[in-house]
Amino acid sequence: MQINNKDIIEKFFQESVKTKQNIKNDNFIGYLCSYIPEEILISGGLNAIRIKGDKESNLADGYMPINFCPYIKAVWEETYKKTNNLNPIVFATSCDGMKRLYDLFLNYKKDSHSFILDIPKKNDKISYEFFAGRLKKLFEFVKKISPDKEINEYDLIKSIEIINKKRYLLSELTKIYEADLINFISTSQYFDIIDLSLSTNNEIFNNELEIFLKNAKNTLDSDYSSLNRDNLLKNNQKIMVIGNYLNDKNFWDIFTESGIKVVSGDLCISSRYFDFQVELKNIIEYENKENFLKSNHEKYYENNIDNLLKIIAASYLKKPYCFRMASLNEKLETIKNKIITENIKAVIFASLKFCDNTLYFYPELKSELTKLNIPSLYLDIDYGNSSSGQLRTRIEAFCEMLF
Amino acid sequence: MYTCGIDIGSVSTEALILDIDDKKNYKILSYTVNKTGSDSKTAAEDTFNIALQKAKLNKNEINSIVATGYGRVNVAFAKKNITEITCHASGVTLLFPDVITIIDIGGQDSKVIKIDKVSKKPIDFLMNDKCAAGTGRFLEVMAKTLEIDLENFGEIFLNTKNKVDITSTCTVFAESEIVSLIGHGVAKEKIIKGLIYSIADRIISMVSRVGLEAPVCLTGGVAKNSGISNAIEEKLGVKLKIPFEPQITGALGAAYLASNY
Amino acid sequence: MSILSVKTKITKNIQNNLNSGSIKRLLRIISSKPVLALYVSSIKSITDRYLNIYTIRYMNEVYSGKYPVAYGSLFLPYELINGLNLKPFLPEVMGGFTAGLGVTDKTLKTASNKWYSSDLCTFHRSAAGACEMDLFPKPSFIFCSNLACDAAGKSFLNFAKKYDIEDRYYLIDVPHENDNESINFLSQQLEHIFYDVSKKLNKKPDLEKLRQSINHSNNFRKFALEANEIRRNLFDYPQYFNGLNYILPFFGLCGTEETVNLFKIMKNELRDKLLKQDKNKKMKKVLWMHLKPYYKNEIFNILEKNNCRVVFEETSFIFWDELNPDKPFESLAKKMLSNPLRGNGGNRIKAMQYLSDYYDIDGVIMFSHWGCRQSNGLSRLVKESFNSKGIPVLVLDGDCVDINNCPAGQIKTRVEGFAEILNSI
Repeated sequence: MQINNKDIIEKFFQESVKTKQNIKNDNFIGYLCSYIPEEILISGGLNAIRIKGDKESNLADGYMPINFCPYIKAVWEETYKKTNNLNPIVFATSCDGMKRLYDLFLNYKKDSHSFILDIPKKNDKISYEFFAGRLKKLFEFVKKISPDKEINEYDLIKSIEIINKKRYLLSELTKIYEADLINFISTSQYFDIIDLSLSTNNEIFNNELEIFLKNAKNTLDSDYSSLNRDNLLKNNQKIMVIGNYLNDKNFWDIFTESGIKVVSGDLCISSRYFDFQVELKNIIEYENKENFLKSNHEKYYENNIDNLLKIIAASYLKKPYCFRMASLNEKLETIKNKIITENIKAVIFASLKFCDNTLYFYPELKSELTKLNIPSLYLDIDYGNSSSGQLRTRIEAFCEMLF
Repeated sequence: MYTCGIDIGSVSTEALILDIDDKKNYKILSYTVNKTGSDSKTAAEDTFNIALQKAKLNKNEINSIVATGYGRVNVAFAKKNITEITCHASGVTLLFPDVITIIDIGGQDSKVIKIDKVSKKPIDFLMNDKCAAGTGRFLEVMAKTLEIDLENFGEIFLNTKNKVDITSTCTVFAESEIVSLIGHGVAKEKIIKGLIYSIADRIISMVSRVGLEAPVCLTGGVAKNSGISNAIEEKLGVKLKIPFEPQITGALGAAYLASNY
Repeated sequence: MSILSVKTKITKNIQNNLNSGSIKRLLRIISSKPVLALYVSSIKSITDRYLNIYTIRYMNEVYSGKYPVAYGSLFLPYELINGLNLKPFLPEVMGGFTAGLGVTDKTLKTASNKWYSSDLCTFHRSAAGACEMDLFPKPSFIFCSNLACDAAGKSFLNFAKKYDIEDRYYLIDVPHENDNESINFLSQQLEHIFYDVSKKLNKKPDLEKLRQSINHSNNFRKFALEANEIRRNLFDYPQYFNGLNYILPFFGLCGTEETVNLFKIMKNELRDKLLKQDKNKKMKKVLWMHLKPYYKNEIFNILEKNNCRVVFEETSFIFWDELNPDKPFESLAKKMLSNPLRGNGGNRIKAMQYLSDYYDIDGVIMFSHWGCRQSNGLSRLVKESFNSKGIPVLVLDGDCVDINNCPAGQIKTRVEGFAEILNSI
């Protein structure tokens, strides 16, 4: 059952590497949280890059406590070291640590462009409205620093469509990856593609990913027919990973090398990042329905940046929740459903160290998993340290215990 | 007058006797470095007695005694207790009057002290958090794990080109990390180099919190290890001043301050 | 029987019979008049005595099961909660109490068994353990906010789950900035809570009661401001006086008549002390930031022995303007937004600079409670801002709740070393 996927994947990476080369140092805006709408960031012609930080963190230790989020430290390491030509950065009130990161930035990088986006913790009408107001401020900030100073509603709609397409394609990729029983796309490769999507020219990336998905589907369809599906299903052991910003190739390599299928589960770079759409037709929920139906769409959008921002606000607050959000019931239900419907064997809860929001979720999750009789492994991770022997041993031992 | 400073640390105890006049001109008559062991009270007495013998003096000839270090409260015969922060600062300033930043790496804790240019007194200090990472104890445990004598670390550091990154700063975890590195066949020399850098990193982040200002002096037992001092110099980009006997600066400062009481 | 042995007996009793029934029984016994009189008889300060009587009686009410109890995090508009006739119960403060009673070995262990990571704040962890052990009264409502940290919202959500009252869990989302949109957003939330809770209690919304609560809060504010002013020149405090012991009335019972009385007594007692104080008395003035250890410790004694006196605490700061009883929700929203712990760290630094000028501070101790991300993340900038004015800062690493995470020897050396620095200036 050897299938040669090498060509297809290599071609994809070769093509999409172009997207990286396209981004010059001066035409991007950095951002730090999945709640910051990429569609607004790119609406004036800039590329949006999720800042990954410098993982060799030791300088940041002088500025932040020892027990502080390693991702935030890595970001500070990267930004502090860059003394000139720092690109604009959009921060968010994601968590306490991020707020303190912004304090340091304001203090030591006074001359750089920066913005902090206030993100509500609830998903209700007054929160949408408040968030839309804050997005307006972000929009004004983006206008100020973009090559295109006069961003109109068409630019914004176009940006929404581009990011919607990216989200759709990444969801499709996830479907193929999760249903894939023959390891056509390995765990490492899957997360490599996601990683690429976080810092890319979205239009080129979308085109390449679309072609890749088409080829992948064709190959898989033709090859599956020759294989015994039941047999494959039996041998396929799925593990769900729940956590936060786990963006480290070494970590995923452990699973690939151990031949374990990771179902992406719930991460800052998986479902929380792309498992939703900004529904332009949602406008009906907000404005008088009759007016909307009477008007023709294009005309309606005229001078309606505010309306678009409201839709973005609502879509983002409704998207799969980060642990920072007020109520996590829905999240727990989604996780439980996925475990049952997709026949997940075990859960790995992997959090970057010192992430309060994530860590407080584990006691509840653990007790639910115990009720479902699903074994789980708890890992706290130093950003960029995922290859350490200890971590590998723990993951491998857990898997040996399971299968 | 004759004064004595006794510095009772978690690992070692030092006593130093000074002959000091009204104009604060001083001469070191004797000093002793001893193991603290399990009883800091006895260690203080024993060390004091040895220093007396070396100086050929009697107990009652000593006019004033100041005790410092963790065990300072256990020295009943001392006139006064002063923290090791003030004593180190005082001792280092006597040896190197222009020093502004002191790095002291002791057995169970390390500290960085900043000295005021004018008053020559400490104005800020920082001590490591409660774990033993970045201290002499950490090095000892690692040397034991590696089965290599601590004394050879300096030479190994200089003669080894590459390092492996030791990411765990906790003594317990670093130990297991090292065991696993050895298991993977990584050369011990590379591990040592990595270890030394990891300690230097811890120290440097403390220095950075206080703010680096040269001249910098390194004291404490670990200062005798050239590997550590080289790594810190390299990372700080500053040449370190190291006293002739890096362990006695606390006792020296204490003895000097004792002349005030 | 001496008072000391009564206290020891009570503590031992709680340690040995750790369940809500025994706590309830004990509170009933202690809060009876003769026992309470004996209990407080050894307390010299009249403010401290009132605080003890008031707290014990209050806790007895909370545990009695006769009133609806509302869990709340520290920086909430308690005028609103008291105005709804709910009995506030502050799990974070109780986390501090567990330290004072010496039961954290049990509560923290329980939390750890429930998979609370040891990297988390011990106020919340110990409270989570105590809640899991059923040491707390059963709540009717749970309120919390993201002011000043993420941890409260998350740990309180787990309480709501335990008691199965997630429909009565309210997270007050305090915006990062202080502008009109924020005031609007926040006051809408407070208004919603007021009407929603009234509905769930099957009661008519009682705006008159809310107004009364706001008036109490204003009166408390007035006395506290006067007491704070007296403290500018005061070194000679009543025995064991510590501003950090007044957290519960200052925040949780704000809006009650008793808190007004307490701060009136405090103002009077401090004024008398000031009048009797030796005019030549001079000590080094220390500003205390964050909270303190709530188990038995020597920090404040060490400072005093070394000629240093904590003359003000961050938590005693009256940072808000007088409230308008006719615009309750808007003025409570404004109060929350004017909290220096809201928004950028610059707000907090500015407030501390103001206090340092007002009290003519010689040095600052910033207690760095293990795992308190929101506060510790700012320590570098706090230090820089004070050092630039020539004021030394001690960032004192420790743990307010877990004595095992805060070795006394290291604390002593640091505090003494700091005192030596202050005295040499």
